[in-house]
Amino acid sequence: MIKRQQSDNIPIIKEEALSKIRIAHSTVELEEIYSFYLGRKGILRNFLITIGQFPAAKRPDYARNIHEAIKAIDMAARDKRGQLLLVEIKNKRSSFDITMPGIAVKRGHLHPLTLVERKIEHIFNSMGFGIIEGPEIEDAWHNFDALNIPPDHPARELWDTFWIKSKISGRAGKAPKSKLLLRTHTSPMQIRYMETHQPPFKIIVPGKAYRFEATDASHEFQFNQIEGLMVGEDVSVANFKFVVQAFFEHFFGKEINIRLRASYFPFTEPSFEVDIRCLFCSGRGCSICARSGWLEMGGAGMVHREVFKAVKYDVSRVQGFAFGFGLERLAMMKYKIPDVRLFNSGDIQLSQQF
Amino acid sequence: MKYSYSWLKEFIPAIQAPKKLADLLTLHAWEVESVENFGDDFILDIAILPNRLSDASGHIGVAREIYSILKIAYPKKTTRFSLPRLNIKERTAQKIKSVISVSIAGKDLCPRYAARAIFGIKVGPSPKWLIKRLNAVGVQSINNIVDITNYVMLETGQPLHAFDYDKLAKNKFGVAEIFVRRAVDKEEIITLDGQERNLSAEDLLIADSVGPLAIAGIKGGMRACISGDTKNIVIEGANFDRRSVYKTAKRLGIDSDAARRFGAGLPASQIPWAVDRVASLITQIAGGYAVGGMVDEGNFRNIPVKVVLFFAKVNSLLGLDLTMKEVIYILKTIGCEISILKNKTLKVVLPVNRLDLTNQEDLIEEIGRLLGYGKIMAQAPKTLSSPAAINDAWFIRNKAKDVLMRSGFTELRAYSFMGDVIASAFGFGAHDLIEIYNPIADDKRYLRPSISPRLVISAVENLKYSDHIGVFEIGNVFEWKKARAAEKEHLSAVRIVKNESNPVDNFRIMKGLINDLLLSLGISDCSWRPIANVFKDRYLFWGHNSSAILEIDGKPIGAVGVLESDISSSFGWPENIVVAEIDFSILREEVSEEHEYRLPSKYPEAVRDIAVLVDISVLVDEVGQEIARIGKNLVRDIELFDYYEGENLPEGKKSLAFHIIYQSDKKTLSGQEIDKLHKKIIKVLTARGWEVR
Repeated sequence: MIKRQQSDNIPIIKEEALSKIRIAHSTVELEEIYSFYLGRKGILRNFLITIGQFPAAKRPDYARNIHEAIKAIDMAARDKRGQLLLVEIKNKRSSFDITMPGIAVKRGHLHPLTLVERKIEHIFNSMGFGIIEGPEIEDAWHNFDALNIPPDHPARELWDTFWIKSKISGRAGKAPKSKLLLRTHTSPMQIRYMETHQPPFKIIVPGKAYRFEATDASHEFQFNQIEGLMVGEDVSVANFKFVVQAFFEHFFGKEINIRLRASYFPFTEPSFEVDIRCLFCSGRGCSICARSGWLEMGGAGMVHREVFKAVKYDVSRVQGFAFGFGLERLAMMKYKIPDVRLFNSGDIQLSQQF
Repeated sequence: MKYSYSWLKEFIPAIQAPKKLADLLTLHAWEVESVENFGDDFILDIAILPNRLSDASGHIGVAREIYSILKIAYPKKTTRFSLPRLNIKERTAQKIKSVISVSIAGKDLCPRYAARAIFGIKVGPSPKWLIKRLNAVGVQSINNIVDITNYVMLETGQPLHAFDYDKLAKNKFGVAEIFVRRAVDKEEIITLDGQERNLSAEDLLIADSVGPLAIAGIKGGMRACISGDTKNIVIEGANFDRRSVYKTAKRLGIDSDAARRFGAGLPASQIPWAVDRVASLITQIAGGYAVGGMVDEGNFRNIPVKVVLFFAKVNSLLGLDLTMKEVIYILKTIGCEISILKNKTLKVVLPVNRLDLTNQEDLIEEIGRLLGYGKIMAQAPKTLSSPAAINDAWFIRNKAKDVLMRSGFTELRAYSFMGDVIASAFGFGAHDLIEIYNPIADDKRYLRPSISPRLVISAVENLKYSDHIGVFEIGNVFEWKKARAAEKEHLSAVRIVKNESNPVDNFRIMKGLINDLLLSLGISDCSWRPIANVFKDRYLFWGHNSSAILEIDGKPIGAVGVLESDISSSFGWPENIVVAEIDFSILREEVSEEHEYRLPSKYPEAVRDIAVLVDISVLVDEVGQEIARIGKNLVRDIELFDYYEGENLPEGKKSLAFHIIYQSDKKTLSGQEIDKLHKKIIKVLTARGWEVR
């Protein structure tokens, strides 16, 4: 505690105050010093009151000395307050180490295919496409015949099929294959939808499909497709280009170069492959695009007249496009997932990254 | 298929350089999978599309295609396409009819059969240029005669066959009689590869009076094959029904060059030139002479197909702005003949070799691809359609996934298949399972009737990363329902805690999760019943004393419970596995979007506790429901805060303790009112034989 000192020697008081301020350790201590000298009952305030009692000749000097001392102490206290506050704030802040790792709030994760599917659905939905779903067990008529893929035709070999064993056993006691199969593509939903709806319409059909084929890093016997179908009076290849371009640009979030290449599918005429300029090398050629500069994204075309006939549409009055993209391929491109087999691996570490 | 660059160049001398040519073909016709050096030649591996095997399975067909592409891409350049000149040494004095006769039984299966006879040849090695050509496209040289038939097939796409004339049976006039007929059931033939083949009445044969000579369009037989001392031969060029060849080849498991071509369908119009080409090369290379003329049997008539093309449709379908002149130019380059009818309609006579062209859209495709789809500019669709319908199933599924994810569960996806081991371990009878006719592996023999088994396995495998795992999947499951293959959507969630053997908390967390899911989907009318009371022969993988059936509106739609300990112990899994599986197809029918805000009561609540000693078989729900029944709308909530069984309790008893929360939404309840109601509850519970303590 500061002891009261009775002295009328102003310069000494001033020096004493300044030195105390200099060595003050905290703002609390500083405020005590301040009020001792300059507070309402402080020493120097008292001196101010007594100016009138001073001999008139010495009065101006005396008054000036007091004011100068007050000013100096006030300034010093203000500076010191600033310094002390800075130190105190700094001390408060570093009371724990903010570089310690954060503690995760435990939540679950969605599968990357779900995320990609949602993104695709959102984009098409925003362009007015309805989202339709259909059965994974199909009959041969919807999967093949109605799509203009005749029996005993080499074209059918493009779709290696898982057949369902008949419930009724055959002659040798073994159940023969039935007319039921696991759909080899989502295209049978074109038929199912058109059987019950009239154009104009635009839909997408996301879903699982199955093919009896060997697996490797880029092939799976069970996979997902996004089928698209838009039918009206005057829907054209140019319209398809617009829709598919808009889709890829929204999906990948950048400008995309599209190329349509001649192809063949029994249920479209004309038919084409949809390529996009390689995202990884911008078309210069890299290992991902097999040095071609282009990435194959899926098949498409204008709906074949035999398909329209199968659903009893008037072929002279409707036209439209259809397409089918692989969901896994889009996810692999988007997230740089190297092996298609990871999606069905059941390894939680895949989903947990998303 | 492999094509030699120098061979193609024979037909189009002004052809592009190999790489450039490959790019053009890829864009306009077929993908060129590789271009490789072969000596001073290049080999293009071209993926001919299935509809074009009929005209492009030979070099001439591909050259024709290249010609069209070049004519359209570079209309100002002079590009010429020409076939090699034929030069047959023929002795017209001897007539073919005096040497061979062909009779076709079943002309629907063989629309055309042509043959020439060449006498006095010398079988020997082929000249070097011929061997090189064959080797370039991966064909081995055998002898000059067989090589030439192969060469002409690779050139024209038309399979050809040579018989040793002297080994054919002759009739009394010395004429070799060839029959095209169906096989007799169980008739046998030894094919060129030395294998004995068993035929059926569906198969088409080439035969003489002794027996089969060849399986039509598929493979030749041993009996009349060309050998080192063959002197006189018959060259066959024929056309067979596509489906018949395809089916026979499939059944016999023969995948020959000929069968692949005939199976795709070939134009019968190309036969005479191909047979003459063989005769020309043989008489030049192997000597001998051709007997005068050609046998040409069958009901094939060379009538070109006509298609009417509405000019406006071209631009409408493609989204282009072509003139009629441009359209006509393009169609002419592929060999169409065109006449303009009134009303901007074209009559198009199709080229006889292009079996793939049958209608207007086929022609529009030719225009689009030969011109290049790059010429088509993107254009926003004009067609308006009604706003996209909301797909409830999709919406609800996404919501459910979000709820599960927020609760700490991670989504997995799995194969839709299941094998015998898992099926029987989890108690699925083979009777209801849908079996795959051609399974890809033993553990994928059936379609899954439930998601849980595979999900449990995945969850267990993931224990290597963490001591407790929560995973879920929503997907389709499959089962025979009588004779119908039923497909439904299920939701399954699995939660495993590794180092805690008591599953009660785990069970309650899962039950809480499902409750929360139902609430967020707007389903409130649900109840839980012990599994043992509901299912006798189904859901066998849930422990009967530790599982519950979820009912909505009185209908069971799923179950939550501990995995049967027999199953977990037999696989060496932890005991504490809780599984929930719900029929999502039914659940989503119950979803209600309606949600009404209820004002919280303005009046104070009062809490009174109650502890009850009951038989172990009495359920918490039963006691709770009884309290609620008496309390009516004055009991806002009942919370179980203690559950105890064990020491210090009489044998076979358990103790339950509840907070009863009294509250009215109309007034402040007085202490007296609450006491009165509470006493009434105690009285009723006591009357049920439950001891209130």
